[in-house]
Amino acid sequence: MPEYNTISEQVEYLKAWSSQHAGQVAAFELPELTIDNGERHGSWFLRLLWRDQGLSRSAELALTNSDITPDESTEYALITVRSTASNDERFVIENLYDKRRSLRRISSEQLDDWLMSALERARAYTQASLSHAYPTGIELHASTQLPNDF
Amino acid sequence: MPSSWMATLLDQEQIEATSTIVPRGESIEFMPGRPGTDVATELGGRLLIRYLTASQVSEFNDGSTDRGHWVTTTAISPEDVVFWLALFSPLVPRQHALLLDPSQINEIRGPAWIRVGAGIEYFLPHGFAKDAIVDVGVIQVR
Repeated sequence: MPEYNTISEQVEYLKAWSSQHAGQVAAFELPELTIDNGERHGSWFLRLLWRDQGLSRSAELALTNSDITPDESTEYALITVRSTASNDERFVIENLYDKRRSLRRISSEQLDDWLMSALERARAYTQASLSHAYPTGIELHASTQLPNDF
Repeated sequence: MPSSWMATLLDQEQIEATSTIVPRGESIEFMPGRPGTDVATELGGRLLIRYLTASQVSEFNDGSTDRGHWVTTTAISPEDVVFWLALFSPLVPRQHALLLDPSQINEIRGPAWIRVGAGIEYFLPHGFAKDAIVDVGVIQVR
């Protein structure tokens, strides 16, 4: 069994895992690909972001601590795998996996499968897939009305 | 959600009086840095908000300067914040926050519209020192 018990250790493991799989991702030849990670408002994430056919696309894997104990002393996290696509006006966002698990119980092969599934899903989006309109970015002085989405 | 929309709209109005909000297609992490004093002027003395999960409430009390942090200008209700900031795990409430004084932060990138979200954000590539935390400390978002 892997020796990354806490969320902090699992984050370090995921950073190393993503470095090891950079070549596998490169094989997809995703245009303008950036791979980054960080912690944003409570969730650590690994994100593959690229542009293709007029859409900004991403495949993401995140860990979120849902307990009150800090990452250094917590084993279980909400693991989220999601794919997104967007243009300047609309977007789609899909959670492909979102469950509370310990990453030490997840195999490297399973992580591969999750990331590849999210990547393939994001590649498959078309302009017609963008199901949500951004509710902001409106000129205040131009007859502003609440968007219909509300 | 309409109140979050209106709060964001007013922030947009204030920022665009002197600056430009970068479109969603741009990665804020790779934008050029600006002095925090410039951002403080842009925001008219307003503060930056760094939302926290319950597990993070005491994590940044002494500042955090060895990593990047994402922040927003807009006060968003706990019910809306996940959608508005395009966060993960909607069932994990972000009911706490730190208020940061941008004039006490050396480098800030942004502002930019949040991709697959609805808010405006800045990025602190070198985090924030303890001095930047407004002295009320962690606040509960209501």
